[in-house]
Amino acid sequence: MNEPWSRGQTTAVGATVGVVLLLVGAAVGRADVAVLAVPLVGAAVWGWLRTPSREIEVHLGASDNVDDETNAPADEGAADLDGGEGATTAAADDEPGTLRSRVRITAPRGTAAVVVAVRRSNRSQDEVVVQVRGQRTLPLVVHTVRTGPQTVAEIDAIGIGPGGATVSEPVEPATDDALVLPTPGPLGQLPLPFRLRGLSGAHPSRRPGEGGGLRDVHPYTPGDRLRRIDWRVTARRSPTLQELYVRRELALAEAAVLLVVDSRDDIGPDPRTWRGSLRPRASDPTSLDLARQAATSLAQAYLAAGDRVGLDDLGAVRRPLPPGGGRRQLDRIRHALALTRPEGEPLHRVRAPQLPSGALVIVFSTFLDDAAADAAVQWRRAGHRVVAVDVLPTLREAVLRDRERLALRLVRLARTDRLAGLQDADVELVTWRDAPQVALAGLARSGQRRPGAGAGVR
Amino acid sequence: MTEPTNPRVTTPRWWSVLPGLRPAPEPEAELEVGPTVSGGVVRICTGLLVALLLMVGWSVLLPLSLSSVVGALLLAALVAALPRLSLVWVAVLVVGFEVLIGGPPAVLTTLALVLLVHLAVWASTWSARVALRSRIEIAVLAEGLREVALLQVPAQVLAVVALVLAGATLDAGDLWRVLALVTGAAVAAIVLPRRL
Repeated sequence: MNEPWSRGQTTAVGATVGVVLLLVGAAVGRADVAVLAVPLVGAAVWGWLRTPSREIEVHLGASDNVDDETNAPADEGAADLDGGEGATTAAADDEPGTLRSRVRITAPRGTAAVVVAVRRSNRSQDEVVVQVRGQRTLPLVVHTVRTGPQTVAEIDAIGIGPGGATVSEPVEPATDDALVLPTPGPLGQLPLPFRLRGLSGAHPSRRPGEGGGLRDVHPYTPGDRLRRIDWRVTARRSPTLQELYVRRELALAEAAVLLVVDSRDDIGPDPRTWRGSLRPRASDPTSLDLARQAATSLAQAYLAAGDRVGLDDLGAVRRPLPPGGGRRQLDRIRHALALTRPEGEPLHRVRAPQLPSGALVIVFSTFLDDAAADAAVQWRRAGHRVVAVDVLPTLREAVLRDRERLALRLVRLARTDRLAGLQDADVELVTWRDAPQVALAGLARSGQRRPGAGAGVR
Repeated sequence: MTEPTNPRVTTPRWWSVLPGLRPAPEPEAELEVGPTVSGGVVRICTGLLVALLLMVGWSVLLPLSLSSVVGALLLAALVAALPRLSLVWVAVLVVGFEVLIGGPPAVLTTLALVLLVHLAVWASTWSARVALRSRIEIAVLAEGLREVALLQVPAQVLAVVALVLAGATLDAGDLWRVLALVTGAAVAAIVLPRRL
């Protein structure tokens, strides 16, 4: 017997029963009893004689073009993902949240089948007994609602010898990691900061310049461009052309937006998982998933309007991503958001991070403690327009016991007071789980001023 | 990397409307393999084979009755419900005991028992390997059936020789039936493809 393979219990007991029948038949001279043992003993001996000699190997990751003909059609339609981290891929026509990877199994000669088990987040997801001759690559499809760094799957494999007579030792589980970027969603009107800056962008400012709406009509002065002369006004006001009149415009300006993500907690909809001993279900997006998605959606919307967007993390002491514009800035923000996760003990900040002057601050937090709320209030007192985005998921309370429900009620009371305090401090509140587009459009309208008076609405 | 968004919305299954029954959650990760059957189907087939084996064995001892059929079905249900306990060996021992007590059965009955014992044990081996919701590729079962057929050819021939040497008489009908059984096993071994 080879060491990596052992005899199966069923076959061993079968062989024993076969030997018993054989002996009984021989003892009483009954061939009809003895022949019942023939297939049992024969199958066991035949299976043990052909026991494979080597271990099963399993690998999860990119295909090395080693597919056998059995799986060749399954390879079509896969495409490499942007970023290129890990070996996991996604097909272009897949629904969002679909990861594609490959399980490559190498089995020694004589292996009848391999039991392949797929685990994810320590939960069994799939188990299949497959035929493997030499080597076989199986496509693995993972549906996830989670973003950020994560393990695609853990693959366990056990080989089964001929006739199920032998089984191999379980192999070391194969794993693969992937970084899942958050996806932006469509948004409508967005709030703008109290002060706009710069001379580019899409928002009219109150400074004189070019590109914006009409500021006034003014007599021509040295320095005015000739193409700004308004001949109709000139003809009406000065028919003898003793004086020329020019149209003066307002400048366009851009908004500086700073997204501040509170990565100190990452909680799911089930309050029983908040203490950390249980993991949230893999099918439940956590608060940090919602924060990533919200921040990405807002970043995309502001960047599309020509604004400058930066990113900071309340839960980590590191240099913030400074405000910038353009498509590459969106890529940088998405990547930084995907890497954002709780790190070590929650950070306590004495003072809120410094921000660019006049920036619109959008804070993404669950507001389960005072840190994010305090920072938001400090920024508001410093003159920034501050929007607090509540990313607490919709809680699942039906599964709670009375004590847990009472504890949740206390937490909720404190949180409600905290959110009310934020609103008292003139911090605007948006709940991401309840139609955020509507709330953001409402904030945009509430901050609307006439063009030229400082701010506008896209 | 990819771009996940919201949780998938799954259509509820028809049995979710039944009281007390909840549909199994959609698997989060799934392997794409060839045609498969579920572990439950394998267990049901194992139970049916065991029930058939027990009924044929009982017919050696006494004529079939309702109580014997119910008893066979109960033991078969136990074998199917608890595959890891290897209860199929209890069934094999029961059949051996029945044959021992009931006297020499007909040649064809003995050959059928040899085939059924092998099939029941083989099916029990696989049902012990797979969980109820697991899947097993049909190619694996076809390859296993081919090996069963390969083993059955010599087993059936050996059984006939042993029975004849022990004094059993073969009339013309028995000869044809034995020949048909052996030919069937041989054809199965040849026809069942090595690879599906």
